[in-house]
Parts: sequence; C-alpha cells; structure tokens
Amino acid sequence: MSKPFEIPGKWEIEYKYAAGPYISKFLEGLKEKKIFGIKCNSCKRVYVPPRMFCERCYVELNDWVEVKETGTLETFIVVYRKFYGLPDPPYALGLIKLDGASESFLHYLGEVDLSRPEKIPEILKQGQKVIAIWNEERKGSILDIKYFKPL
Amino acid sequence: MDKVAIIGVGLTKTGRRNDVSHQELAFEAIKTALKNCELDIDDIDAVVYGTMDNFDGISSPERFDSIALGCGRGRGKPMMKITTGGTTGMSLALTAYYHVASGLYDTVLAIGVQKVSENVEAQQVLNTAVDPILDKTFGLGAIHAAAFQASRYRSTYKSNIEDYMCNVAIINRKNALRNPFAHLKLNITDDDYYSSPYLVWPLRLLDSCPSSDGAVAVIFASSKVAKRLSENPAWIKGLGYISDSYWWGTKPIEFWDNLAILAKRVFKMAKISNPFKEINVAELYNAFTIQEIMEYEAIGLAKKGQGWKLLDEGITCFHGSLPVCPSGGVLSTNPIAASGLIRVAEAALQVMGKAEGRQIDGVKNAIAHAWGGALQFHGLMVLSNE
Amino acid sequence: MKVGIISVGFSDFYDKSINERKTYYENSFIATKRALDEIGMNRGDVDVFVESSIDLFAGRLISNMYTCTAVGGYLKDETNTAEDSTLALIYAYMKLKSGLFDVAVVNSSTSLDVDYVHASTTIFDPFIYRPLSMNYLSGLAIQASSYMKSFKIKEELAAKIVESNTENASKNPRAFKKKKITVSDVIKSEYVIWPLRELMIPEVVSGSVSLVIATENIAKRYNDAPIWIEDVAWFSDGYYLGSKRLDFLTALFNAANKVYNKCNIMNPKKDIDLFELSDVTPYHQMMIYEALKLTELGKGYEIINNDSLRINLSGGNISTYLFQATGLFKVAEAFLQMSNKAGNNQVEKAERALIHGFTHVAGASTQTHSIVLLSK
Ligand SMILES: [Zn+2]
Repeated sequence: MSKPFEIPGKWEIEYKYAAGPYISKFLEGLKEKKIFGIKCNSCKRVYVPPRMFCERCYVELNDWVEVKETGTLETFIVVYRKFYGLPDPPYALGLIKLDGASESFLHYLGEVDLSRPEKIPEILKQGQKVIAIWNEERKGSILDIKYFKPL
Repeated sequence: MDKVAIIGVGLTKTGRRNDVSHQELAFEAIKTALKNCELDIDDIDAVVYGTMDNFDGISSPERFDSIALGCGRGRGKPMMKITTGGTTGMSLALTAYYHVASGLYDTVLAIGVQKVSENVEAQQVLNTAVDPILDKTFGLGAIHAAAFQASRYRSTYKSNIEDYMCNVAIINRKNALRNPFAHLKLNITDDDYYSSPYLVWPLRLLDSCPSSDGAVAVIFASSKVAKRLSENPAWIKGLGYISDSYWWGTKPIEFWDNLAILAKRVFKMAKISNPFKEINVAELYNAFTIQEIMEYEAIGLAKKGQGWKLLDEGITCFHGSLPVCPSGGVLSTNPIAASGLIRVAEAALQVMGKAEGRQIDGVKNAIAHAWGGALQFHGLMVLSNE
Repeated sequence: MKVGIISVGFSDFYDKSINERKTYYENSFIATKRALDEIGMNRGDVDVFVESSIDLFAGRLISNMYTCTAVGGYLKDETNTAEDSTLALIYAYMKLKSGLFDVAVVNSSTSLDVDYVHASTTIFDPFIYRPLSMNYLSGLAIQASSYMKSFKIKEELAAKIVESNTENASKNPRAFKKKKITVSDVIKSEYVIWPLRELMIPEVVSGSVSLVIATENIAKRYNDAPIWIEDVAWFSDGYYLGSKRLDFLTALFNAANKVYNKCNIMNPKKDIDLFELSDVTPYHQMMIYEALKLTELGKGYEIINNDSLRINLSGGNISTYLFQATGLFKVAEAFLQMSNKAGNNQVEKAERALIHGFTHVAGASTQTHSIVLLSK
C-alpha cells in the first residue's frame, strides 16, 4: 500500500447572521453609549445582553431598561497562548455584572498588567468594580465598548 | 419497561490517525465491537451516529461513513445523526437506549467518530460555537470557558486549587499508561506540571485535553437479546440529560448546579441513595483538570467547594476507594464527539470485567458522564452488573 | 401505549426579501410558545425537548446551544438531531414510548444566514466528490436525470407536478408562496442544473415549526381528539452513486414496506387519505410515488392529485421549503387537516395521513428517508 495522502482543505463559508430585534436594539444603544437590558416582569431579572424571552419563565420580554456602565467583575481569565485564527495574546476577559443587571456578560478587561501570570491574582480580583471604556468611533458592535477597566 | 444493556464495545487506537480516512476509522470501531460480541453487521437493527462536523472538515460525514455503518448493503439501516457538542457521545448512548427502550428495535449500534487533528486549531473551531454577534470576537473557545471555572473556583473556594489540578493532571496521565487506546500517555511529575506554560490563565498546557482522532462503537440490546448473547452485559440502571442556558451569566461558574440537578434525577432512577458508597468507578468528562474536581461536587461525591478533599485522601486515584477515569479520561484522549461514548464504553467494560489492564476490582455500579455546549449540557448514565 | 400530537405552532416565515429577520432561535421560541399557548400548557408541563438543527446552516457549531432554552428546555431533558425534523419527531416518539416521559416538544428552525447551495459543498468527502464541486442540488439532478432516462419521462410531466403542488398552495393559508406556477411557466424557466429548471427547485425560506406530543392519557387532557402516531420508519442507504439505484428511492421503499406490513396497509392509495411528500424536485415526487407503491415503477406520472388521492395539500416544498424544518411543517399541516382546523383548504374525511421526510444534507443522492403515519 502507498503512504496515505493528506489532502489540504479550507472552508470559506460566508454567513450573514440575523441579530434579531433585541440584539439589534442593544447594538444601536452602544452607538449612543447606552447599555440596554431587558426586564422580566415575572421573575424581575434584568438581562444584559437583552433577549426575546426569559428562559426560566418562558415569557416574551418587552420591558427595556438602561443599566450603568459600571459593574462588578464576577470572574476573569488571561489568554497567554496564541490560538490560530484567534486574537493575539496576552489579553484578559471578564464576566462582568453591570450595575442594574442581574447577570454577568462577557467582555475584555483593559489597562491591566498581564506580563507576569503568577501576579494575576494580585492584579485582578473577583468582586472588583469595573467601568466601560468606550471607543471614539462606534458603529453598533459589541466592540463599541473597548474594554472594561478595573477601578 | 424492558431493561436495556450494553453487550459489546469497540475502541480504536487514538491520537493522530492520518493512516485512515474518516470512513475507515468508523469501520475500525464497528468491526471491533461486532467481533467482541460475535455479531454481524446484518444483526444490527439501527445505527445512531455522531460527529461534531466542523472539527473534521466534512459536514455530515455520516453520509460518507454510511457504508461503514452497513447502510450500503441489503436494506440499508435506519440511521440517525445526533449533534450536541461535547455531550454528543453521551447523547448517542441515550439515543440508542431509547431506540431499544421504546420497543422499536432490539439491537442498536451507537458510533462516535472524530478526527480533531484534521483541523489546524480546535479552539478556532470551538470559537464558531459561541454567539457570533457578541462573544465570538473575544476568541472564546472551550478552554476559555473552563478557565473561567478554574478562576472563579479559585477565588470562591480554594486559593491553592492549582495544587489539586496538578494532582488530577498527573493521576489521569498515569492511568492512561494502562490503557492501550489512550492518546497521551505521560508519566509526569509535579515539576513537569508547574513548568508547563499557561495557555489561558489559570489553566496550563497540562490542565488540558489533547486533540485526538478516534472512534468508538457500542452495541445496545434489549434484555431478550442481551441475555442470549452475553454472559455479563452492562445493564443501564439510570440515565438522563439536562440542558441549561447558553448565556454565561445565567449559570453559576464555580459550581456545576445543572449537573447536580441531573445527578439527583439519575440516581433516583437508578435507586442509588449514596453515590459515594454505591458507585465503584466513575468515568467523568474531565476535558480540563478543574472540571473533574467540580464534577465530584456536582455528582454528590463531595460537598460544594470541597471536591479537592477527595484528592487529599487519594480516593479517586487508581487504587482508591472510588477510582475516577482509570482509562485516563478525556484529559488523555479527546476525540470530541466520541469522548462521551468512550466514557460509556469504559464504564461498561468495567462492569463487564473486561477492562483488562485498567480493570478495577469488584465493580458493581459504574457511572459515565459528559458535558457540552457553553458549560450547559450534561448527560449521565449508571451501569450495573445486575 | 399510544402517543399523539396535541398541538402545533408556527413562527412567521421569511424569504431573503424580508429584512425584519429574527434569529433562528427566536423563531423557535415564537413557534413553541404558540403551540403551548394553544392548549394552555406551560413549559414546566413538558418533559423532553427534541430539536432538529444542522450546524452548517445555522452558522454555529452546536446550534442547539441556543434553541434548547428557546423551546422551553431550561434545566430539562433536551437533545438535537441533525436530520430532517421528522426524525426529531421520531426520536421524541421513542422517548415517550419508553415510558419514561409523557410530554415532548419537537421543534425545527431554518435560518437564511447562509447560501444553502454554497454551504452544501462541504457535505462531501474531500477526496472524491468535493473536488468535483458537488452540492446538494447536483445530487438531486443526477437522480432526476437517471430517472428520466430509465423511464423516458418528459419534463412536461414533472412540470405538471409543480403545477399541482402550487395549485394546492394557492388555497393553503399557511403556504409561504401562494402563487400558482403553470406547466408552461416551468418549461420556460431556465435550467439551473440540467435537467432541473429554476421553477422545479424549491427556494429555502426561514421559519420555525413546533409540535407538542403526549402519551395517551395526558394527550386527552389537553386535546379532545389527539392525532395519533400510528407508526414510524426510516432508512438510510449508501454513499457512492455507483453502488445503488439512482432512479428508485430504495430507502423510502424499505421504510414504506416496514410501515405497511406493521399497519396492514394492502392498498396505500385506498387506506391512506392524505400524503405529504417531500418534493425536493418534481422528479423525486414521482419516485416517491413509486417507492410508496402508489403506482408501478416508472409510472409515477400517472398519479393525479384529486379528491380521492390528496397529495401535498400543504403546497409541497416548492411552496414552503423550510429545509430541515420541512418535515415538521408537513406533519403540522396533516395534523391541522385531520383536526379539522386547516381553514381555507380543509378537506373532508382525513382519517389517516402519511408524511414523508427526507434529510436534505444527504450525501451525493437522497440517502435518508423517513415516514410518519398518523391516524385519528
Ligand atoms: Zn423571568
């Protein structure tokens, strides 16, 4: 038998993701430096990012609220390895619960010294307050917030 | 309801399997499983198939693989494709179980195939799972989600959890030395662990599973067929699945409460009141070290925040009172959509007394587990020798 | 123990011209909520959830990560098949038949986030078929061509089937495209892949369909007249085009035999009142007739949709093509007919229906076919 071949391949499939009406309104808000959440009148939770339905109560949500650009760092990680096709390290990610929201959401943490991994527990702390740093140019993207900065 | 049993298992060599195509790898697992219970492909009534397509660069590879499943001969086969992420393998076991438990079929083959090494970077593929509008841009993959768990566990419960993750890393890789079907077989020390680089803090390279190619086939049968074909089948006493929210903030990160809810349901079905005492071996889905510790807690083997204590006492190592992953676990071998079914296969082999070099003495009850999605899916199965 | 369908729900359907697009999982929520509300059921009353979602077309790996809670499965037993949604229904049916559960929601949603023909080039092996630029239409065309040649079928006969399906659609309030297409419209339309012309090929629309099914006692609490699932069957055949008949749907023939034997159906034309068939092309519809033994081999063109033999009252795929959600749409349409709730296109005497499902990412030819037989 001959040596088994390896055939190179690449998928380039383009998608146009429907954001839906709820995330679209959220992204519109970011352009204006507003962070919209949505409140479930059944369980009283405020969801950020907003969504069409409360998964727990299974009702449609329509009660829009604006939450603060400050919040609490629920947890954090720091990416040190370059993964092919993904952003360049090092960078820090946090799950951030904004003031006025019931649950955390994902974003970058910025203005943090990441040069020494062993020092991370001294630099970042669970429960720490953070604030959104906005991009000058905003186009309706999650990256209209550049990152969250620990206070 | 009629009882359902596992009567045969076929594992393949894992690792980089560029010696065979997808189809040939599936064939290898099926052929082995059939041989192990002296069946012919024509004895199989139906097939349940799983892959997470994108890792292998073939969408719907079950079509290409169909001839290895016996679809290309005779009447063909009823074949069903299941995709649920990391739990896929476990979902295959559950689906095969329902094929039989419904009374529709007597002998059903579950097959999971995956060639993770055929993509350039698994985390890049995993990044296509997270929300494309909000989360994808942050480069999130599976290791990132597990790192959030480790970070939050560390801050909430145990600041030196790293020392215990080191334990898990070493035990699993050592166990793999006993398993001819394992991918990573490493005899590592504490020093090796602490000098291994951080990939996503607080997870190091040695906290993480490899990218493996591999396949597994498991044959499920009705009690009528099982009793006729097997002297000691592995009976399925309890099983279940739970799905939670995708959204990161909706789930607690430091404790796997969705798994805790599922475990209660499944142990109730299996009539297990004290899992710590009644379970003799556990095949848990430990893609990352921290997850094994969190699984101890969620499954009820340890109190919340105290899973690491089992490691202090050596309970979960190979010679402990409740060995976890004598196979080496997902930490040693991870052909993604096959991994959950490998857990089931390994648990079944333990119950049947056929685990050879990795056999634990006197196994009556074994459990198999898998997690998937955005830390949001779990499947759990209890296997027993009676 | 019997299992019956007790409710159905649809989201709105969209094509590419409509900009108000929702995510596929938001549509899953809308369809499921409507199905549950219709019978006054809460998500808490449901034991299991089964979806049919194909990651490639949803544009997300593990696409049921989003639909699982959209269909109500938060902290519940939930799973996903990557098949035509009739198989999701069949899986849910098996779960209830096991005796472990009583109520299931079955859902499928189709998105328009990707071009289906383009994406489907990845469904072939990278060694033999992919370098030949195969896509899901080329596989269908090969079968159609083979069928035409074997039985000397003229394309006017295929065009007649399109006319008949779209005529039904013009009366169906739930059909997405309600415009009747005539034989001459079809013949005048351009070839896309010979022998398939543009108006023979269904266009994918987005939307979602949900069903609620339950075991006998529970079913009767929520619906006075559940529509029972009498039997199910499905088969898949092999991959290589050269290894099988291309002018005959063997997998469907085997599934039909299984159901007919079990349910004592000697003369399907007489014993079954409604047929909902997956007309991926009109040539396939003729092959489906033959596999279902409604007529002899090569005589599919003889079958005429009329009052005694009702075929695709929904309007068929050509009018409402929800890709993998198509199967559930057809089951839902049959349910409404049998429940006397179809509206404008309601027919008399709809006691028993056969729904044919076809898994659309089916390799180089149609490999997987399924049947759901419903009765009152
Ligand atoms: Zn709520």
